[in-house]
Amino acid sequence: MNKKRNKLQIVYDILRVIRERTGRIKPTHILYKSNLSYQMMEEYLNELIEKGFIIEVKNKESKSYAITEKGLNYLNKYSVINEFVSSFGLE
Amino acid sequence: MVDVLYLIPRWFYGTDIALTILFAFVTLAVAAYSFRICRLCGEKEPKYFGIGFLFIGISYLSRAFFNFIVARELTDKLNVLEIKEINLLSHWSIHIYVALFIVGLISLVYITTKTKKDTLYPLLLFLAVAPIGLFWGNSNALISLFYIVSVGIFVYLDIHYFVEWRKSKNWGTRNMMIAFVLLTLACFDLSFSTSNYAHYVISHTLELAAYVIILSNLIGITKHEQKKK
Repeated sequence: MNKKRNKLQIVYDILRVIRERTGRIKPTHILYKSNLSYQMMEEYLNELIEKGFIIEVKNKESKSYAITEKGLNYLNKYSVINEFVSSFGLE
Repeated sequence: MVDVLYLIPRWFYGTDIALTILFAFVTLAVAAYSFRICRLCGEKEPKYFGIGFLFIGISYLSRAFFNFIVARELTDKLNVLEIKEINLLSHWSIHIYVALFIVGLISLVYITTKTKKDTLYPLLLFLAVAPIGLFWGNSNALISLFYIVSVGIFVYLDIHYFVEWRKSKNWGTRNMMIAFVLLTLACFDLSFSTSNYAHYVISHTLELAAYVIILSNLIGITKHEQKKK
């Protein structure tokens, strides 16, 4: 259990947290649940937005993140992605 | 004067082309699966892995084509076919094979750097492919250079996969390490096939073993996917 999480696992953890919160979540909850520093979380969230896995929803007072179809597809296929990456030594 | 590129025992001719096409099939299947994984996760490692195997796959098709057209034009009744650069088509085929194979290997090397700098990739490609231009018109010298560069890159990949396997203890990474070691030996052995045809057969046998291992890795992943459905 002490094994360091790789990038794919961190992305999986973030997306899973968003999905569990009925598909929309505030950044503070992601920070709490994903076990990342604030800076790291910001980097990951920006990358996930760029890739189209999540979208940023801005209200007047706060912002939240919602998972997209592409993000859900990543979650569904995560074990296959992970299997491929580890089998071909791409970690 | 036309230089001998390698010697093929006549009984093995045809089998070597079929094997080369099989190698192309395996590498192109790995490339297609890599691109699929890249679309799912958006990471660059599967993308460059796919590019690497795509180029290697096309290079094998080019090699099969070269052997086919050259041997078709040879009419000797000897037990050994002397594969030579005999016309413009064969000249181009051998150059294309070398260039594509090196590009494929460099793509695999680029992944191991784990760098975020995209500019490193074209630089590595330039450094690896530019020498081919220097040996344009001299297939024998080009092939010699190709063996040296390829073996060097393969040894680097062997070490990389060994280090990765020591870290992860993953069976797939161990398989890839074994496959790359076999490909290293195959490439090294092929360099002696200008003098003895046995090396050509041994080299193809080693390559076959390597691609069977890589194919078994791929089949393992597809089975895992079917189980998850």
